[in-house]
Amino acid sequence: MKKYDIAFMLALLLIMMAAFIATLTYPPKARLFPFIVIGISMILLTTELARLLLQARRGGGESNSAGGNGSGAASRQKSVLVPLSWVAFLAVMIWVLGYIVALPLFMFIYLRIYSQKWRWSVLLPALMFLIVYVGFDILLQVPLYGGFLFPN
Amino acid sequence: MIESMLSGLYALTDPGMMVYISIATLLGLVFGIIPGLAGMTLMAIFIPFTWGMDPSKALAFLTTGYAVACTGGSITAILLNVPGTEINAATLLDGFPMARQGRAGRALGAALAASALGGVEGGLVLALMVPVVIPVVMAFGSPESFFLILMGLSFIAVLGGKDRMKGIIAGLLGLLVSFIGYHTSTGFARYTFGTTYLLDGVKIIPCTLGIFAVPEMLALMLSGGTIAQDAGPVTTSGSDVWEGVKDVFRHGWMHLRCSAIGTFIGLVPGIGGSVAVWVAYGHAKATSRHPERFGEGTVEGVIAPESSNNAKEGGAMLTTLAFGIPGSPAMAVLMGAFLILGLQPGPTFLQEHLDITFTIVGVLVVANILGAGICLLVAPILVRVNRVPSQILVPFILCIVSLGAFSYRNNVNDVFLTFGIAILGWIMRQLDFSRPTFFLGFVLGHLAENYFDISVKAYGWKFFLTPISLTLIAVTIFGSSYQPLMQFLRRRRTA
Repeated sequence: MKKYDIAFMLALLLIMMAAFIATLTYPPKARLFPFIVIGISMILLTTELARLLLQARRGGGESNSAGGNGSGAASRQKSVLVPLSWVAFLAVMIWVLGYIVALPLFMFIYLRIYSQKWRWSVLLPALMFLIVYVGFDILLQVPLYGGFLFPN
Repeated sequence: MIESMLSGLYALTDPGMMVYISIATLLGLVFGIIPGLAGMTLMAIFIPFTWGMDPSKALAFLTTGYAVACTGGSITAILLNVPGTEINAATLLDGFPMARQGRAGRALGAALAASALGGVEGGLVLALMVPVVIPVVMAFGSPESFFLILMGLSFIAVLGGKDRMKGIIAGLLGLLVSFIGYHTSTGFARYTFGTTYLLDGVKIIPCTLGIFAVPEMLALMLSGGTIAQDAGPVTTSGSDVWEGVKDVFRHGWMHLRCSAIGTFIGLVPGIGGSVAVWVAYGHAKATSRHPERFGEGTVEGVIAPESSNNAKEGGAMLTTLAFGIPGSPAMAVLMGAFLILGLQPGPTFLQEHLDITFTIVGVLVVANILGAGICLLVAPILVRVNRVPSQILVPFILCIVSLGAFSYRNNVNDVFLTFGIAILGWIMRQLDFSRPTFFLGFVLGHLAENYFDISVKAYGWKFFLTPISLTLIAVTIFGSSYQPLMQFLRRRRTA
């Protein structure tokens, strides 16, 4: 985990540095609070990063083993990417197909891939369709996003 | 005052209100039972649906759902060793051993009765303290409000969990995110990347859903199986449950003390129920005649945390309503709901909306009794939700979350922002960066900046030289330095 901690903190430090540069262009009143927050964050992140790097150095290969290597680490990284891919897939489906089509279809694909029984793979997307179309579109009259392919 | 009280409590007799309370009670129980879907997630998911509703009914719905989720979470903690929410974590220490000894019914009865009574007591404290609090809060101007918010922000260090440094960094990140958009005082756009979408800032709904709800679903997707896949079969009987209810009265004095601990901790901004339950458990053990039985399956170990976890809502609600400072992360989410409904919690709230305040008090009392009653009746059936495979639960909740994010402002960009924040939330979850502190920083950052600007404009740079402000500064410094100071002194003594 140490390896990921370092990577995340490094990313945060870069974000803080970019925010610091952007903040320099703001009027004094608008930059006071951001400066305080960014300043403290950069100090804490640098201190924490230095501590973690020193710890990793003293521990030798410990950080590597914690992060894992070989097929175990690869499969873990793959399994970490799977949930994120599903979220990205849902976002793209909503953007392209809109709510009424995307949500039941997403449920159907998800249930089929995770080999649920056909009964559930049909019933649950149908229930989702009822919630979206009848509940939101007709009853609540929410102007649901139609999607890139079927704009409202 | 009495007129507002009667009007507020009369609102509870509205059949529509009772329907909302009943629906929220059932939803709260389900969300409480499913780990990860705590009361805070329930509020986050359902806040968008309260848009345009009558504020009293909307707040009654959300408050009920949240309060009852704490009660529901104790069922799985006892029966399956799976706490529904982090607030129920202390309950499983003695609850699950009791279940394994065949005393599950007694543990459930004790937990539900203690939880309901604690919630009622917390609600009554809130009602009794309203008249005392009004004159105090009217002495609060913008400088005092700024220092109160600063006091709330100082609790970022306490909320941080195991790794305090990570908690503080997460809190600071939340603060930075709260600065996105127009600066209220100057009208200058900050960190918008040239887009018009971010000019209004990051809204509370995408942030709440992204930081809390979606990451829990992703974690469940990753773990697979069912939530309670390792638990064995469980049975409960009516007489055992009733014996547990009587246990609360047998240990009445301890129950009242733990309930008072919960209410007091709830009053302090930034400290949630997860702290209250452990303090109550520790207190019960320290004052018990048989401390050695704790952890082995003693009913006192169930009553103590359950008495405090619902009682804290009264105190946390008082701080949120009277000062506009959320007493816990969940109250921060509820405060977001207040703002969405056009209500600004803070010093003027108790004067302008005293009737709503009493409605909420009444709702807290009714919800706790109703929640515990239903739990006692349907506990064995509700437990089956834990057996729903994650493959069914996860896509369903993800779809509901995306609907919730969209229906808040009918803006599809809010959905994409929710998923973007969810990735950050998930990384934070995996690496143990506290998400409540991120959220606390996000909710309070913008408010702190606004009050600071108003104070400087109205009173100049000496705005902090008022008795209440100086007291608040002293309390903040004392509160932040007490624990490290004591640790330092203890270390010196042992060295």
